Amino acid sequence: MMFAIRSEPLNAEQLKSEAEDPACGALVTFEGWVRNHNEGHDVTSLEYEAYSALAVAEGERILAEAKEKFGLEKAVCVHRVGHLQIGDIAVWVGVSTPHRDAAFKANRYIIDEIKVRVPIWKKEHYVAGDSGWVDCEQCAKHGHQPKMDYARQTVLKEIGPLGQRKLAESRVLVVGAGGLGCPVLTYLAGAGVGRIGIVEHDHLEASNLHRQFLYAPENLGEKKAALAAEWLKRYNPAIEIETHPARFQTLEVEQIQDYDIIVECVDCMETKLLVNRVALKAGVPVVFASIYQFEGQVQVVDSESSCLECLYEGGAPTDVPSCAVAGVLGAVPGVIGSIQALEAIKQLLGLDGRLSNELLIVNLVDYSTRRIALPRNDACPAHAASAPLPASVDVTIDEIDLSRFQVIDIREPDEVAAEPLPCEHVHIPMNTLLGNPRRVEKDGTYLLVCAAGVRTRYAANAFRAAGYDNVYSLVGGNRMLPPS
Amino acid sequence: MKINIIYYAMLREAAGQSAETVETESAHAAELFESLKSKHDFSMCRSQVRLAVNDAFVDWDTPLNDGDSVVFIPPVAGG
Ligand SMILES: [Zn+2]
Repeated sequence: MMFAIRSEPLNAEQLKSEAEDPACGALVTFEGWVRNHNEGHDVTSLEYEAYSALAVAEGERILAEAKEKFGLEKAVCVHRVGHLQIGDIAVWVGVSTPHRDAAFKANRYIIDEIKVRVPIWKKEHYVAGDSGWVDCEQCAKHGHQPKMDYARQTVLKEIGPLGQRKLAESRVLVVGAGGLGCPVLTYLAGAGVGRIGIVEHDHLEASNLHRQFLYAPENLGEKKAALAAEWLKRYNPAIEIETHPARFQTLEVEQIQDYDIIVECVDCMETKLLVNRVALKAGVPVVFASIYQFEGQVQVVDSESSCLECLYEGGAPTDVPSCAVAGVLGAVPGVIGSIQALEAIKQLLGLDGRLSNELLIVNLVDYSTRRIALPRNDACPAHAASAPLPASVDVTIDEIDLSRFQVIDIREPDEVAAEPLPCEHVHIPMNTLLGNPRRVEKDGTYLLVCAAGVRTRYAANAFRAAGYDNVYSLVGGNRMLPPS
Repeated sequence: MKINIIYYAMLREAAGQSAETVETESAHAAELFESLKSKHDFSMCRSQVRLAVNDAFVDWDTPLNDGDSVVFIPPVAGG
């Protein structure tokens, strides 16, 4: 695969030899020539100018896409820059594939994408002696819609074209579109994160506006998720915005796993703790932040690291003042939310200095920051709850966390009467259960209990055979359960 | 021994300052917190606060040494 920008004339024969492949039955070449007129003007010559670094990166990306799409063996594309005369080759594309159909399609794909996506501009010189920059094909294709240029950030060695591409392929779920959420959403959209999900159930209130700059007074009472999405789509039309105008707890684990990272921006401890649990279970990292007056705390949690409950040592407090009670100045969530957006980008790109197993505390009274080491607490209940379930049907009482299971006593009524189970459970005798398997739901986790673990193994295996991998048999039977 | 103390959030408000240096004979951080609680009239109790010594979270029975920097961090949830 080769994409190049050249200032000297293109030699079609030489390029063709570079695109040939002895293993291929088809070679399709395309030559784009400078013609002597455009839109009613007689053209004498023209100039092409490219933003080279970006053009080459984007061109190579297009060739890689074509290779994957059409099974190319070889692809060569070269674009001229500088002053060209009538009849000069402006762009040359050649592809080799085993079969002709794919070769035609791939060549067409490459030239169409190059015209739209690669930053190359054309200036025409006319017979009349004047000249003019011609609207790039990109503008034509997009109905003259200008779009965002990431040049100022791709010039950073930490980002570059590769990092930019990674961002475009990234998916971030932002929970809460308030004081923290506004800067988070804005900077992620501006950075070119390809897909952003917004979870926000609230409607806009007047007291939000002083710190939530995605909204305006004319929108009071409207759904914030839709308002934020509308603005972000205008701000960066190239990215995808999804809205979940509901509370976080209504999202399915699969919906959450659709994202690479969560940025948590909610003003409520219960929700933070819930996001912590769900994200650990889903295996999706989270950038948490909270503020109190002129202070902010930022923490990154993933399945390997310490978590929010490690921080609070299980005794997670819930009577914590919100902004409504404690007061807040808009610039404070502005700073802390910006840190969250930056941290999310660092995490996505694996950049240096990202947070791990620590709490960042930012004090905006004296502008001091502190990074406090927070090792993972092995006794933390959040990690225990997210540990994978055993694969085997038989489980011993010592290897499981009983609180994660719904217990079903499958013994006969006389056995139950003689030795009732000491824990919360439902009683469904084995034959009733096997005759009525819908008593078990696919997304629950069940522990079957009998007297010795023999009947439960049989029943659990029957469920497994029917596609339920969430039904377990307690080894040793009912006497293994600890007395309450 | 001298201990440098840094307060955050509600504790900073109650103490009326972000930091102070105290002279103490407290054997461990729990004892130090209790003496500061009565000095500044903190409404939060120890179980609601996390403790960091020299920029690492530690347990309340951690012994203190001269020159340690002790940070008290209440939970915050604003957004
Ligand atoms: Zn934890």
